[in-house]
Amino acid sequence: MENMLLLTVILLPLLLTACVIILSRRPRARNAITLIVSILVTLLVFFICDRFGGSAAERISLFQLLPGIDLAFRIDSAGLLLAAVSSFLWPITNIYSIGYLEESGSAGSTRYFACFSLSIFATLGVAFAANLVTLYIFYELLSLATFPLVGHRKHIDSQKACRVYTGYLLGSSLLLLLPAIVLTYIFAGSVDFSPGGILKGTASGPVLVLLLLMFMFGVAKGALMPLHVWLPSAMVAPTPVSALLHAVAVVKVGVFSQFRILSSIFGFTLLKSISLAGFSGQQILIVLTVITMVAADILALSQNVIKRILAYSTIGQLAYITLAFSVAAPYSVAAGLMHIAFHAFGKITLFLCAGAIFIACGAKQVNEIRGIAWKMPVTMSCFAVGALSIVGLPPASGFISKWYLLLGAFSHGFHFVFYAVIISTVLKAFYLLRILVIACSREHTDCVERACEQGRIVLCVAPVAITAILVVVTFFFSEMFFELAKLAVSQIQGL
Amino acid sequence: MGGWPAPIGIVYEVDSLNALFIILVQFVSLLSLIHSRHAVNTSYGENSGSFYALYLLLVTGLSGMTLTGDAFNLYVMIEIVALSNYALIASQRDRATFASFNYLIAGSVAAGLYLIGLGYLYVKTGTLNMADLRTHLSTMQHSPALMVALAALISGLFIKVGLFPFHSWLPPAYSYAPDPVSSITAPLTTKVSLYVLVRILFWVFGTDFLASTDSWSFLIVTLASVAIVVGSVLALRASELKRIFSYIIIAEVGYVIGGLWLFNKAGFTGAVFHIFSDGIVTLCLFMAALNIKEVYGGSHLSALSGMCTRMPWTASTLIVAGFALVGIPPTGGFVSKWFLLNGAIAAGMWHFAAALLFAGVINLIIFYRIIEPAFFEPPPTSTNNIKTTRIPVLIAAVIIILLGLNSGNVIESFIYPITPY
Repeated sequence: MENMLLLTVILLPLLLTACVIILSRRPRARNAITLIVSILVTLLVFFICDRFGGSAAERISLFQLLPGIDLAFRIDSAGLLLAAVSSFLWPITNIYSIGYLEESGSAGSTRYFACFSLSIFATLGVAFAANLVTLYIFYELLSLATFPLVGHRKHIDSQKACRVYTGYLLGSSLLLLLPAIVLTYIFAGSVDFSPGGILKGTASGPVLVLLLLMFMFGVAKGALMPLHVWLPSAMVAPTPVSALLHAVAVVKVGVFSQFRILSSIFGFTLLKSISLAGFSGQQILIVLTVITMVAADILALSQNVIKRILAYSTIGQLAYITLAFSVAAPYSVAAGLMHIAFHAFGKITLFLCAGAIFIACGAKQVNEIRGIAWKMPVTMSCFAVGALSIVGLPPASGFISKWYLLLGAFSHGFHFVFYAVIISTVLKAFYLLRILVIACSREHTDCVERACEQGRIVLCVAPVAITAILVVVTFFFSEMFFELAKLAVSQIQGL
Repeated sequence: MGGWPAPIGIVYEVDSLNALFIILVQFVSLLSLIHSRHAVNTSYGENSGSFYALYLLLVTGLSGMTLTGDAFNLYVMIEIVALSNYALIASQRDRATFASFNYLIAGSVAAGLYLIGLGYLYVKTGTLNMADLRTHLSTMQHSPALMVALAALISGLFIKVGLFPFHSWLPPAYSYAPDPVSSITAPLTTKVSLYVLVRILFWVFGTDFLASTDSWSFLIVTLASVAIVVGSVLALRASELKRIFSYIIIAEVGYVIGGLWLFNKAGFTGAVFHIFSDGIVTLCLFMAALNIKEVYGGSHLSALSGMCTRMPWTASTLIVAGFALVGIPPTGGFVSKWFLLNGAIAAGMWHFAAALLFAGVINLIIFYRIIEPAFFEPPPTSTNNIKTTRIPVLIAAVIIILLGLNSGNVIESFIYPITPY
């Protein structure tokens, strides 16, 4: 029964893509059906979460992709977490998109909505993939489906951004990820995800560390430096697309794939035991993620365009999640998984606020929004809540994941990680609060005069309020995510 | 044939390898025929009859090459294919005439080398039937004459398929040829010649004989890697669609030849599957090029603005074919790349694996350069208002994806039963 539900959940967005293309001349019908299907998918995912007891579910195998390797899906808690986050934020982003496109010109909206639902299809495929090749197929589909979204406004800026975007994402997966998958198949004879990893004892330590690095950098959607450049460039996209890229789909798929590779291909025990030049795989990964995290926060300090500040903040947060996985303590891995959800809610709030500001008065830079808090109070209070979550302070849910990460890191002796996270928190507070302080100042700039929260902007402001409320609600009622994360951790061996 | 039993008479035999390629030949020729009907009427007018006659002769020759079990009959069929190709390519009497003449010279040299090789084999074994040759060769001592035979056969076939450095006749011939002609010649001629190479190598000579030529295999795999790199780089420098696709064919030939000379199961599977899947991909590419030429009046890269809006169906088939060439799943191209990479790493031929990855990236750049103006720029107002034939191209694109999704079944039914390793 769950398997039929799973297939329905995965295939619905694909069917929606076809419907959107068919209904291209009737925007109202198209908007209606997009909303209905997105809400339906969300309800189905939550239904599956509810019924799923943590027992090992069966695999569904659809096609024989290669002899011995099939296109297969399986339900498990970590996948449900990613699916729940993506599917829940999808209808919200849809409502926002409808408002945003009406305000900023609706040329190409069929392509927009079609690619959007195709991206969600790809995300759900990654969430439930049961082997590396299936994951790779949907991972690549996501890169391709988001290309027309990044290039939606056909300016010269979007053209350049698309080159960087495609170049980094497809280049890294062709040169690093694909060979890594082939090598895994050669070493282990299989590409299936299994609880303790499949690479144990198949090759020597240094070779496996190199394979690990090929995987971690090959999954460029996880934005480890220096393969992070595509993220700030993709900011030229319309805001709902940036919200999708940075909260819902692309980046979460990146860290989720890294999680799957660490837990079900390598295994955490193997991660600690392989070494290269005297450093264990775990240590190397921790150093790389800490460098990315701190460097991203430092880079964010010097930016002026709001969306670019948020982009660098995302790079830092993704490194933070991967760091949580690398520490390989039960609390920290659970924290990493929960942060996939909590960061999503917080970041999407911030991005949707930035978009609402842009629609209301055309402002993109921090110095242009002087005093906007008095004209758009709802928007800026939501921004404050989102900022609290990213910095990691109560009563925002980002605090919970930070608490568990620090607990896990300290209890396993990674004091260096502890201090690095504290430094990063301080930096984040600095650059996010700077935006709030400027927004609350008593003087106004010219474009702020025009800003207001009435009229059609409501379609943009309401979803922001929903996500901000979610940020606070998940702080108080975090059981669902905590349970899923705990279940996922219990299914992993080697922690 | 003619009532004479084998091994004296000529026989036609079908096994699963043959079956795969005869399906390819018939399918491609049917689709290409349906697709180019309008173009044939426009460009040939009253001479369409001669076009169709030569076309059918070409298909006969290709089917004969695929199905025959006799080595000399194979030579006859090679010549039939070659002659119909020369005539078809030159049939519009423009630049293609010289390209066809070039092809004629190269093709005749190649056929001559094939004949020399076959002559040595006949002198040593006394038979021309392929199965019989195999029986004789497996019991014979290795002599210089047999090595020369192998070398001559391989060299002739290398020229025929256009392996670097014998590739220079291919791009002009395929790109200047009239569009209806290139839709059938480009996918099929090279691929069927590659099939012939597989047949001669593994069925006439056999893996034991080939094992004694191990010293050549590194050289040939290196040559194939160079072919891949050169083909990809030349495709990057070209600026007209059919030229680009012809250079890509040269790179794909490198994939197959390298895969065959890896002498392991994965390499063989990858190479054979690649011949089949790349045949469909090339068909898709050239049919799309024909459509683009009809609408835009030319197929120079600089002229392709707005193709995604003006011709969305053709553009999407071009994109699917591009995915197959880059190696993005779930297309047939990904499957062959998977097997070839597996085989290359297993055989320790790292330079071949590197060339494969390099080609993927270069193909990405090539297709990005085609698609970028197609997506970002608005279509020019001067395009013709023609309804292009889209169904055959769409069918080809769908087959590429189906191949990628179902390759396990295809490989297990056609290739694994007859794999020599």
